Amino acid sequence: MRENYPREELMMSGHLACQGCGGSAAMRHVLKAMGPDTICIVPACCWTIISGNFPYNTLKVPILHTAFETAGAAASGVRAALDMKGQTETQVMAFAGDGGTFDIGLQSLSGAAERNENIIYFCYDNEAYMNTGIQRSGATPEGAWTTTTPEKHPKRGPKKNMVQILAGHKAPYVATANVAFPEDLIRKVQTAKKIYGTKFIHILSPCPPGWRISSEQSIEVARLATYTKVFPVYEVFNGEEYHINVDPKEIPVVEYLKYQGRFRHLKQDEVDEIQKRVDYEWRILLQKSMEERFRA
Amino acid sequence: MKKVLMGNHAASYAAMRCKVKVVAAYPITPQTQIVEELSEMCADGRLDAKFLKVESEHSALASIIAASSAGVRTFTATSANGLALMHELLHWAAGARLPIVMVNVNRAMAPGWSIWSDQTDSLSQRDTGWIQVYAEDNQEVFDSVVQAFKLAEQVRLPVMVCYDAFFLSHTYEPVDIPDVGLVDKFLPPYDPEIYLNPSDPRSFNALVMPDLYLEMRYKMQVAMDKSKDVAREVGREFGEVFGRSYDLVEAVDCDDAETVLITTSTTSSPGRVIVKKLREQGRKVGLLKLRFFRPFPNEDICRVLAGKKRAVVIDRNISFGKSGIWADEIRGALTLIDDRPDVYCYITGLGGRDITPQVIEEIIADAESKEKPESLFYWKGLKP
Amino acid sequence: MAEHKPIVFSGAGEMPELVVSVSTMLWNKTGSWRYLKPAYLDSVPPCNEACPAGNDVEGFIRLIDEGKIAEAWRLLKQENPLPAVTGRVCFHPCEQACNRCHLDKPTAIQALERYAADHAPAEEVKALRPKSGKSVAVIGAGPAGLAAAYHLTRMGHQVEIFDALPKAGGLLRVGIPAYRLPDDVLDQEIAAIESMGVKIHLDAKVGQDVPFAKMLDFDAVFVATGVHANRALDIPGEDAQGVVPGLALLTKVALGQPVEVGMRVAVIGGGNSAVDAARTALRLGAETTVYYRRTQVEMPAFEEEVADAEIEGVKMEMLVAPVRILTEEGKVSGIEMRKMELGDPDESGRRRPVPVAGSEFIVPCDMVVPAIGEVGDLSFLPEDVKREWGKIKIDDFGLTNHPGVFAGGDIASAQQNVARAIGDGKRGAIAIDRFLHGETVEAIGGRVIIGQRGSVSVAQYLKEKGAHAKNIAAEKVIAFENLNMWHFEPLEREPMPRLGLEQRRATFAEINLGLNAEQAYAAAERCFHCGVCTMCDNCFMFCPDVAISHRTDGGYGYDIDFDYCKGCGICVKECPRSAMKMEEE
Repeated sequence: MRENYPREELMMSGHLACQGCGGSAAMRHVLKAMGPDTICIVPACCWTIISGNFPYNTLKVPILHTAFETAGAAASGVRAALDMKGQTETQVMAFAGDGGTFDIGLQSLSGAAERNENIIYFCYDNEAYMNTGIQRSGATPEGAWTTTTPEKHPKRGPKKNMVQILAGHKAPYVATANVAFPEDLIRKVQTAKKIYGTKFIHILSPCPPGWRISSEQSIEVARLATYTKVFPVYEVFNGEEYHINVDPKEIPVVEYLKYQGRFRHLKQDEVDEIQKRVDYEWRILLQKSMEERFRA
Repeated sequence: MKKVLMGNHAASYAAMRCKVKVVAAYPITPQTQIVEELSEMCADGRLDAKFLKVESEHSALASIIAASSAGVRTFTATSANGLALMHELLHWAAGARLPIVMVNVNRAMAPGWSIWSDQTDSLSQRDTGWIQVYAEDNQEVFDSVVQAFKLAEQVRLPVMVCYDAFFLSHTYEPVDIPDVGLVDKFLPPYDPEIYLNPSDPRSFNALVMPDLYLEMRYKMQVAMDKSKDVAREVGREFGEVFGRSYDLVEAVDCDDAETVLITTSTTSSPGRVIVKKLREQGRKVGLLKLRFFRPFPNEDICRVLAGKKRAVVIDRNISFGKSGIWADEIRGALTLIDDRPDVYCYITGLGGRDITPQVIEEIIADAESKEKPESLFYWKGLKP
Repeated sequence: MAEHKPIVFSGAGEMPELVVSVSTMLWNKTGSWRYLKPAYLDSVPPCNEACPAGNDVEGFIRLIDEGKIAEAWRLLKQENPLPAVTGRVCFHPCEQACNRCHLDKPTAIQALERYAADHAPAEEVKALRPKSGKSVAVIGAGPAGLAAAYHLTRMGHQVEIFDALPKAGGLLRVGIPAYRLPDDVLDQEIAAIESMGVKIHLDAKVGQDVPFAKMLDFDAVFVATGVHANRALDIPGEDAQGVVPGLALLTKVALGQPVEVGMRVAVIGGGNSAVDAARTALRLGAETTVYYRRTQVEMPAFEEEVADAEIEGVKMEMLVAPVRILTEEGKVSGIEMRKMELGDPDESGRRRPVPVAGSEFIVPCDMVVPAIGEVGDLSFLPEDVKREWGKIKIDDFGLTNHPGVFAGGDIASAQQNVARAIGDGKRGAIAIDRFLHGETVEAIGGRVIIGQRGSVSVAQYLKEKGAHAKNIAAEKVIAFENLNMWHFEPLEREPMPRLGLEQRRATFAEINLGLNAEQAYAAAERCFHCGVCTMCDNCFMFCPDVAISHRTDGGYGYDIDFDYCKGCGICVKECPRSAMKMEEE
């Protein structure tokens, strides 16, 4: 039995996530670490539906559903209200999809981070607008099929690097996490809770219908993303201090891509390009993780 | 105590007296002084509130909606394009049944850029479910904001207090600012039953299926209907506490009038001047000042205008493809009675062009010269 | 369990003023989405299947992992009365079968068995059934006989063992030298069996000191006499002075009888006896060479023994066979050898040694130890008991054609090893127990069989409680491909601590020193626990639907709430050790 994985559940069964949904797994792990004294803001995303329609709530914490682009602003508002009421210990978290974080929600997240609002912002990233039927987002990886990037015109250009963007805001704590490594995610939430300011945790959350994988492969594919360096798991303190948390393995990216129908159209030279870029980004990250900090 | 304040500062003082807890705003001319003054008040402790310096109006209202959901009294202010940017969330605030009070300084919509007075910005938000009140002078600005909190918290609908750019926002007038104890007597602390509370973990604003959405909207409409009586009561109570009472409309010299001039916002001031002048000339003219746009005071309007020959509406706004918005709404309300006047609509003053007493006198003369209105509206002052 | 119902509003009047929730989603039984459902299934680990003695290998290792040494020992003793022995001398087919071989090195199962046996506090093993009033004669106090006696006593029968030698133990005593199996360890194991009420008659060779007819006074007989007669080389000079068969040499040393060892000893053969004889001769001061007619690869002796022999200084010469023994004044002076080469495979599958013409050469020596195998002596048995290929013919459970006469061990089995003998003893005990109750073996069906290789479980037969209550008759024996290697990391297998080389050569002291507690724990951690739930929490942790929870009654394992399980399959996929499977709904 695992000591580092809390037993108490703050999420109930009966929710509306698809079989094998990474986003539902992510919420479950996050809430275990957040604890019951938490308020959760959910902008438009899969979790708007998963949580249950009116008049139901599948979570044991309050959810404030808000408009698509407002997660950062809404979290700021709740935080301000709670602080004015003297409830400074109550945690405020946003739980948003990649659309509401990378694209339409980027402004309000950036605003909140620049003001260093004392919130934890979780982005569960299934790499497209899945709730509306698998359209591409700024988080869609290069080469992927989506309904708006069909096989003849797959997504061009790399995935936006939200961690870098928020590190650029000098947010006190920014990290990636992966539903395949729940204990690392739990630890990160616990770290974040102890820090004042804007904390951002980017969680890779596979979507079986959107990635064209079978439901039981969900965790395995997520794991491969990290082990092949496609999605490194690391954390950044104060925008400067990098720590890599999960060591990748010497596995080529094709081992990750081959399971997913959304990549099946890729030709060998396209796979090679992806491998090159992944290796390049990994070297940069590795170098950052080895740098001495300027400050004492 | 009496202070000489610009309209914007009157709004700030009202928010301060009402002890708002969270303010979020984004600067836009001509609203900026509201938030600057509130910043000062927070900084020196006159106001115990958090001021979120958000990065857009959309985020301003988003954070206010969230803060209000957490159970605290909130306030924001904007104008024109800022209000338009908030549009999605105006629907949201009302649908979420939050007692948010917002000041909107009426300013013309761009393009071309204009910072001057025009009502199209707030009037074009009429269907969002907000209560809308229009103020004639700075005292009414202060008083309307204070009443707005009481009204909003009773009916659980957000309230927008509107007033003209520069004519009020930047113009200094004497304003009576009552003591904080008196305001406390009128306006108790905000104490909602349901709010974001980890001990009572509910989901707010989730998906509503077709079999229930109609009923939720029905409940909003019921609240909106109820708010007429509540607003009258609040206005009456305000009078008892502060010595100045308010109603949904104000009728001046309308009883035996043949022609009723209908005005809103600052236009009511020169309107009073002209009506008085024409009465002295023996003409049967009255003034009907409208304060509330939503809920639209159908009954009051029908009561005042029944049996009158003509209603002359001055609209500092336009709904393209139709007519001036106040006139349009009045026409709709008047279908409830048979003995209704002809409605003449004059669109003028867009983008801050002055509506002087002379303009008003010419409008009345023009309307009285016609047998019937030949079109839904007339331009006044247009240089073709 | 409270009934969870959906909320039904009859109208706007019943609805809350705000769009807020008033209930949970528990009314929504998402279990209806499934078409496949997960189940926990304890399957057979390959080590359990491979153990000829029928040990619950995975089970006892898990108990050691949990720090429960005494319980680990008790679990072993449910099946194997001699864990201190097998923990030292078994050829550990469990380790060959261990799935960990495909990642790094197999789990150190044998060392762990020895650890449990050496460190558990001594305990009495009680009978599980009341006295039946029946008696059984066991011929031979070797591993097969001892195992049969042990289990029969637990089943409530009175057992007497008759053995030809002055000390009990059979080949354990006389065939395995003390540096592999110390005397006192064997003594302790046997004493434990005797203290249960088993009577061992020594110096009592049936057919010589005791007539076979006396055996038929008992209600049943179990023949486990083993193979002690040396196979002859069939070459001239074999009767010279200084030719001492391998087992004879080992027996003398084991029984403390005087032995004369020459200066240069030539051991003929490639099996354990040959290697043990060579290493014994080395310790007695001789320069020793082992001569084998095939290559080292084909040597039947355990690889570890051969390697140890070489380290100690025993020379090995391959592809040679003796032609005749040379004598001087009736004493051995040398052997004429002939080189061999490997030809086509014979019936054992190994390539046949073919003499190379004209390759003869002389090897000077003063002692020849032929150790090319042992055969059994069946002369004491009644004629009507069927034989086959020099052994007693038995069925899968040790029944001979003579009712009431059962057999097992080297005298009856083609596979000749200690673990197999223990297994034979168990099968014989089960068969005899059925016989004594007037029932058949067929009636118990397959429920005592572990996997596909014929090992049986007495615990299953006696329906004892314990970790062995696995689905041992499952068709599924877990292979490496069934495991989820993402959840295992390579871990070094620590070598067994051993005596220094100089000491090894000079004495018969035990070479392997055994693991200490820290090493044992580290060794146990390496076990994959193939097919058996260890409550690693993976299924619980990865379920996105909160449908898996720890059992609330404090019992072992998890509950799956099938009202909500959507059948996504993640739990089964992420189970590291294939202890779950998906089934049709």
